Amino acid sequence: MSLLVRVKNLRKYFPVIRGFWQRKKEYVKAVEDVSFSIRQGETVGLVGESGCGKTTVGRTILRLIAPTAGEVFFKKRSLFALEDEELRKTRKMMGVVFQDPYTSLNPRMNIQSIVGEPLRTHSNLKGLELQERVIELLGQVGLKEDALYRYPHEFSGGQRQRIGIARALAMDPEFIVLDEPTSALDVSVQAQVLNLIIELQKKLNLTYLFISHDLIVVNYIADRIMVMYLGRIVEIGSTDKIFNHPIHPYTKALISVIPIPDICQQRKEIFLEGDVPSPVNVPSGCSFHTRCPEAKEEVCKREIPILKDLGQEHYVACHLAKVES
Amino acid sequence: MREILLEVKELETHFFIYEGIVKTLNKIDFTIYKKETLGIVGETGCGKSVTALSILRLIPSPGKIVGGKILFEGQDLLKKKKEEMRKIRGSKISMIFQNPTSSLNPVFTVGDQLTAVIRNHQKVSKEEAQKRAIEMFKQVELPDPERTLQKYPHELSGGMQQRIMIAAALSCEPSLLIADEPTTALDVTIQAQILNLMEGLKEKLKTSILLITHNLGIVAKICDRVAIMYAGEFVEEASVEEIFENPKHPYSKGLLGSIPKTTQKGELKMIRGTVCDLLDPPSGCRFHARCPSSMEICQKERPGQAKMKKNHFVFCHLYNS
Repeated sequence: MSLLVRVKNLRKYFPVIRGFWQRKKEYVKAVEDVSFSIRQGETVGLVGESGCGKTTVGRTILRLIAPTAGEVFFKKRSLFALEDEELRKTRKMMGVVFQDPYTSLNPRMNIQSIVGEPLRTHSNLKGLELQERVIELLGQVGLKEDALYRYPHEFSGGQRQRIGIARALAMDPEFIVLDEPTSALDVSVQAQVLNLIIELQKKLNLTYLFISHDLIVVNYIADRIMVMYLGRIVEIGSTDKIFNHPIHPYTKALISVIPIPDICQQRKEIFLEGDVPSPVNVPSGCSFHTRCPEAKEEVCKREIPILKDLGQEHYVACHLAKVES
Repeated sequence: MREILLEVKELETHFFIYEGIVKTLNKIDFTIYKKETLGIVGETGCGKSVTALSILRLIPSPGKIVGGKILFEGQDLLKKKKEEMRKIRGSKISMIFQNPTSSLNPVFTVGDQLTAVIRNHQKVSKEEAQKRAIEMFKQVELPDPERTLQKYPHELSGGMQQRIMIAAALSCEPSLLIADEPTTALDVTIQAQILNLMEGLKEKLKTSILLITHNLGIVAKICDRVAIMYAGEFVEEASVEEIFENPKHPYSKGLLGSIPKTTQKGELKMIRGTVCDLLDPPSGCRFHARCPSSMEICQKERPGQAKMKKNHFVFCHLYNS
């Protein structure tokens, strides 16, 4: 499988200007030194709690936000180096589905306009041909032709999310970033939308970056999982490795406390003390050391750990992780 | 025989709006025993929050409780006067809500807010109330209680705010704590801390908890019994083991089947269709249009309660002989 997306040392800081007279600049270090790759055809899950930077990673690699530093390669071409026409051509190959089905669709545009917008921007389709393509896309997500002239408020959350997916598929993309696509939906509706997402991947040979805080959903849909904490990736591994053999203390704690809807599978919980530190004031060394149940060494406070290769495509950023034999 | 704390009988709550009457709660019955955690589970709009607010008679206009009985420690809450209900709320029955930020007043310190709750229900001096507040802060494991008393809500994280809400709710040692989606707005690791705290306090103070949630994972973790709600009616009620291992109602089965399992990867089961309109609900069983096992009687008659073994109740014609 070839590499579709490669992210290198990505960094995104948001400036915070405090004080009327002082104008003292601080930074929200949302994404710090993030590197990973996504292979063609796979689903990579990006997980973490609120504020860890996962949504910022998703938006930055699509160049919806300008990065502070780092590079993103899409099919070996540097995304941030492209301009105008070249960027437009590359954008056709990427799609995005957002979390909130209530704010991601323009309430003043009917469904034909919403799903047709990428087609009007990137292709020469007009009139009847455009409409036919929109009907085709709606059919792929299980919606009928009568949706064309209706408005978003006439649809339920699950249906709106389907419309968002149809829009993302408009230009036959190869890669789609799904940012919490089912978090705002009820469980039974979530099942419908997840089944659709999986079916479309098989049919259209899509590659997904699936961003979510819901580990049960990510376990179900992803091939590999990346865990983020305070702007950094702390562990990468196959879904089985992350779920059943986590190495990083944060991952271990996270997995141990997922509420599992099954009586027989209750795990021994690891409770983390306190709250997540502010990304404006990231702790020194390993940013997790202030809450880590295993941080004993001085090195944890002094040095930032880098992702170590433990073999079998399992990477951990922890000073205490031992390389598996 | 377990002691009953709260018994709800044929509760009916309607909302009177321009378009008509929304029959949100359709004559529901349920029981909460002493020292247990009962979970009410359902999807958005099924009526679970309205159930909680009805118990405390906090239904906002245009809603109104139009029928039924709510027997708390043997007395019907629906027959109490406003003053009597005020004395019950916060002292005998307490409630915590989903979003602690909207429950806390931003212009008062958390210490002031907690002492106000205490002094509202107990005749104590300001100093005594402060001492009690510090004690409660220690019970909910808030760091540095004396300093935290002086803080304003916005200076605290979501997890800490929810701990303060729990402290306020438990300060007068209620017999029943109603928790409406208490951890939905919190991150997973913080949620775990809060649920663990609630379980610990329940044991210590011997309080019953009515937990309202859409998350079956949380139910599996901390509930003793579960009642599943659909479109304003209960469809099934059983111990937590029975619900997960032996669900009977087609909706319960559908709900459990639509959650991804960590152990197997198959296609997720879906419940076809969408929830009925509560302004104009269908006759008979409200689930019949979406039910894979629907029969003719389901469209005509509302199913009665069928008792299976092990205190497992189902409201479904499939089981009514």
